[in-house]
Amino acid sequence: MKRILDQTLILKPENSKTNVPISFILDKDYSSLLFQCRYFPKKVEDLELAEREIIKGIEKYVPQEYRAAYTGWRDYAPLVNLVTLSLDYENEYLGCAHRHAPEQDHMISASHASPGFIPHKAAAGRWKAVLNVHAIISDRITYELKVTGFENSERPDDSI
Amino acid sequence: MIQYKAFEMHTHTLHSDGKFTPEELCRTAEQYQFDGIALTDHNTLSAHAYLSSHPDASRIPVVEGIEWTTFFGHMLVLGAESYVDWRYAKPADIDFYLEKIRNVNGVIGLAHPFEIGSPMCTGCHWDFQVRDWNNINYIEVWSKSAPTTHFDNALSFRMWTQILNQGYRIAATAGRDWHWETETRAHAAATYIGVENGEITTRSVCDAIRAGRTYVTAGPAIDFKISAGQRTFAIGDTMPSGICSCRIEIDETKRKAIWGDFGIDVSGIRIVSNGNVIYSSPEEAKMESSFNLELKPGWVRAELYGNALGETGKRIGFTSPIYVE
Repeated sequence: MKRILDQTLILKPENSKTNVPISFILDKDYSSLLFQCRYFPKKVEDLELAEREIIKGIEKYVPQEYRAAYTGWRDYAPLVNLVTLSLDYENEYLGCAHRHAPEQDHMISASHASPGFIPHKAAAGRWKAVLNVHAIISDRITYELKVTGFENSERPDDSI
Repeated sequence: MIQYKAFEMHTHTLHSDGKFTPEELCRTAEQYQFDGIALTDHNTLSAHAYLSSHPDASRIPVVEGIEWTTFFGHMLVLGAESYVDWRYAKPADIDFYLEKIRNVNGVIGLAHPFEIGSPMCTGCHWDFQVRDWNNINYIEVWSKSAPTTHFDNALSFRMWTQILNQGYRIAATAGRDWHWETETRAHAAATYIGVENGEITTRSVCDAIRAGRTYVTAGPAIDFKISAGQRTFAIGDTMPSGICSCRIEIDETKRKAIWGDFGIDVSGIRIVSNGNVIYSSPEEAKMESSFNLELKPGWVRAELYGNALGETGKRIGFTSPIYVE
């Protein structure tokens, strides 16, 4: 088992609607790769900010004639930050885990991949984890990505 | 021979943010008496790879699709022969990506274009600036369950009509955006798609959508045909302008066990051409109606009106157009 990458990023509202690539080179083949993702906070705890942003959203997207049904901003609270992970190997797209949980583990190997990804050999070469930053509504979030390579004799948790 | 089959055209599994396994989705779709589904997970085709390697996982035909879940709009892509990267499309350059998808034979549909966007659902509202609507094959005019009750569907319907009025040929679909099953069965609309000989494959469904052979309904099945001279034209066809004979048949038996408990009753038929109502049924709609009309160049579609989910005067079904030259 070898830790390939251990990176922490700060993402802010201005990073919303952008992709943040994190490239790394595997200098040899592994049996499998484990991607551990964690970001926090998930929920927007600042209720004044949430109220302001939700009302702005309703005014932008709900025409006046339909707005009577949208009186309560709390119907849309809590707002959440959303970052998903997509993966590439040597410019080949391997998929995406478009899920909302702020802590996710994903495994890739030649015979198995976590849902959202296609199985792919954990081969030597250029890998790219792309953080799809859909929405950062909090002032800032912390995003942690750890990548671990496993040898033939080792196995990460089967449930991943 | 074209046969219309009932589809759910927008679904998700746990390969993205759905709660269904692929098996559960297929099994539940069967319980809703759909003839087929489009599996359109967010930004991944991995559920299709799973189904390919587990042929017993599904008895219902599954159309291969993906939902481009971008920051500026969601787009359903069916049957593309190779993957086109969703991540880098910007509002002003979407046509570049649309052309790339069409070059690999993908069929493209706007998903829920008027869904509330950021910060409630970033990217859910369509903000791309499409320059050439010939690149779009269909619009998901009805989204979510109970589609007659949502304001954004009224806006989507209006958008579709405006684009048709500009001379583009675009089919309509419904999509529940089905992520999980609710405890009590929800009202689900169906998209009926006219496939050759009733055969459902990704290719046959894509061909049918390209040809405009779709209609959307909250319940009853619709057969809409127009005769001019010795020829009869169906949804998606192109016919000459002038005097013609329209015929509509409404079938309230198909899938009635699924929609019959939601208070859906047809009370009227309208024929709409180029955005204008050119015929309204004079009384409570009969199951079969025939009447003559004069059609101008453009397009013509049939619409059903009536009760739905406790509301009256609702549009409860509509066809994609027959085009008129």
